Amino acid sequence: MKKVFTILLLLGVMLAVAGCTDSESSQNESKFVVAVPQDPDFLDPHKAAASGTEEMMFNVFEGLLKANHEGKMVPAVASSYDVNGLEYTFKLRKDIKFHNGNNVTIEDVEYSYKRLRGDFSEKPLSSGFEGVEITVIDSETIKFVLPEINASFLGYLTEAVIPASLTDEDHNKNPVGTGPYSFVEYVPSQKVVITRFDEYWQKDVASIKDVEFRIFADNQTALMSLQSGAIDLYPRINAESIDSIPEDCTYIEGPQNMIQIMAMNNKVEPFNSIKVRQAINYAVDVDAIIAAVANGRGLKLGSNMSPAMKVYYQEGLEDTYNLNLEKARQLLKEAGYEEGFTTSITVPSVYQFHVDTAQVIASQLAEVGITAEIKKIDWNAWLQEVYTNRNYEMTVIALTGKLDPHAVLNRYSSDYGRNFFNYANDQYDELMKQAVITTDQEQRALIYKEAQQILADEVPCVYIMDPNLIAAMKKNVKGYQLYPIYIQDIAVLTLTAE
Amino acid sequence: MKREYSVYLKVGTVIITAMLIMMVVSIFFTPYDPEKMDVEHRLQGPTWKHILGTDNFGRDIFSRIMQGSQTAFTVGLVSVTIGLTIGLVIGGIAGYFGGWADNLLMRSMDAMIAFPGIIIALMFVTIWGYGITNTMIALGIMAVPRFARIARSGFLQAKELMYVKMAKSIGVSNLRIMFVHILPNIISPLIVAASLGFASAVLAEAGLSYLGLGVQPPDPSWGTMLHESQLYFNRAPLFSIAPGIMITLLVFGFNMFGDGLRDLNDPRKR
Repeated sequence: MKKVFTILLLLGVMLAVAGCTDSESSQNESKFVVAVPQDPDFLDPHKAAASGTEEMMFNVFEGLLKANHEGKMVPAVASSYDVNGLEYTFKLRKDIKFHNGNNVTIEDVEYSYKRLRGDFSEKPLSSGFEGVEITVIDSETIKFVLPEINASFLGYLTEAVIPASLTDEDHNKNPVGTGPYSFVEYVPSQKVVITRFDEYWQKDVASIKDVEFRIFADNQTALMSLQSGAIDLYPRINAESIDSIPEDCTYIEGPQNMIQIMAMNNKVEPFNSIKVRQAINYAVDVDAIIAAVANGRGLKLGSNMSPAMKVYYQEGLEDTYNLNLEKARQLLKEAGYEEGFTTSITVPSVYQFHVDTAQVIASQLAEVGITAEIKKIDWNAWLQEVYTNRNYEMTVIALTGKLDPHAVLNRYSSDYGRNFFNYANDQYDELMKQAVITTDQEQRALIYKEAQQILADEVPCVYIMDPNLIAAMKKNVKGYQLYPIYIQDIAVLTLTAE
Repeated sequence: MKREYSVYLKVGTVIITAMLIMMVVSIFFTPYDPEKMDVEHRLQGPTWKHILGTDNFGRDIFSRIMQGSQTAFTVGLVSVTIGLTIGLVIGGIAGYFGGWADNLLMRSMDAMIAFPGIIIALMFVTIWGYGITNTMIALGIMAVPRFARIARSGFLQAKELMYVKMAKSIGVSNLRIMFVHILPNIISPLIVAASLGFASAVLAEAGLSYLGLGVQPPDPSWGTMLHESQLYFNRAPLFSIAPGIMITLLVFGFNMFGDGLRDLNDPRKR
């Protein structure tokens, strides 16, 4: 009898506890919850370097310019701008306010970019402003003069404009920007909360009021929260989890401007032979990799550019090296490796996606007599040994997207410090140099397309895929836009009543 | 009385024998090549062709489970051998000679026991690199203190016994006394410890491989399979469950076997 009583009592307590959580979650209902995988590194926008921070704070901060979903730069804090050779002149937008209610003055803009240049700290906070002269012309005009032509400079002007009146400590504690949402609070390893800024310069843009970025270190936990209805938007859901997306949710997918490659060390035998590299490209079945590791949700690539970069993408290269074992064996024979050879694929162990890819590639290469041993190393060791010391044979990695095609393709310039492929081609170097000083955008795009063709011909890597970005969300969320950069734009979302 | 206890021994022996047979068979025959990928038929449920289904690369899970038993037995055997050998030498010296050597050696063993084993193993594979060889060495070293303690207490007791004193008096060398005269008499608690050590080595290997630090792909190991399967738990539950059950069974089997042996040797329970 006593036992029964205890059990009843326990049940009662459990019900009471359950009741508490229920009422709590109903309080939260008005908040729009977005699942994110990591904490912000810095709230101070000039110090933040992690993409995971940018993903959230894109909604809070704006620079003179801002990227739109096509990857184009559009005026934000500036109302208009003018480029004349080395001189970039910006007009400040009228009546634009900070989240603290103060008007944005030209001094704030000056302060922000001088801060980035490193005027108030020991080291520059952004490399893009080195040697750039910043002058205020009048109360609504600011001019940047570059030391040399740099076609990528506009990209750096998306860095945030922040109030000059705040101290460094405040910038990192209670950051103030000009974006459509203002910062509310950050609870480490739990959440970042932002709320709609009603005095945003663009009227009636944002529709959702309170937004919480909830931090989930574990994918499975985030998935379960989506299933239980606790989160409204789950960007970057794993491709394998698509079947687990619940009934009341839907998803949007598209290229995310990421380039997954299997790089070969072009200075190490046998990969210094172009024939061996081509043979490997013929032996690797990219379609099978996409099916096996991305659940079929990835775009096949043929060169070092994702179709997400519409303007610069060279079409039609992805089928150059479709699976052809005969040709692969033939090329190996011509290169003097008829019997195949033994090599290794070094992969960073934190990325199961790349480890899996390496496994598929190793089993495919075995078909043409190439034995590839998989070496898993941790991320720091990878950065050290592979990326910096270039002490490897083959490696699987993804190059994250940049809006600037130069940043994407210049990796293969022989004098580029992080050319870990050890790729060298005079013609290619020449193209990269030309592209920087070409200001005509169409001409510039053509140069980059030619560069992609060279990469497809000489294949310093096996170009695998741009894995789809899959964003799962409740069905009442409308207007989601995929960006070619790692951000979530909350302002474009609307909620329909159901 | 005796019959009741030997149930442990029977259950343990049956499980271990079954596993051993599976391992031996897998050396010569598996239904499919355990490393052969077939992307078109990935993550299938159980069918007559693939009785445990296929994994995320379309490899036959049953074949990989069979192949994985080789890894489990190798890791268990090698690490127990390493632990037993070093432990026996250390425990032998400490117990037989006593004095400062005893103090020095046994206090170092105590220091090692103070660290959780998995931490030592983690440190080891981080410094020397991931992989099965280093895993086995690390697990072997982890097991040393346990064997050293048991060996020491055996030698300590035996060296006062008459037959040892007699051997000594007719001038038999210490080494010969230790390993020819004493060792056979104290071997049974060591065998029990080895059996239990085998179980914990298999478990530790599974743990390390699950963390991605032990056996490296594409070699099959039950721990690695658990690690690979977690993403697909909803779609192919057997991919996780099968290696999980195998690990549990083998560890359970060796623990049963060890317990049974101990009871068999325990005079109080006879």
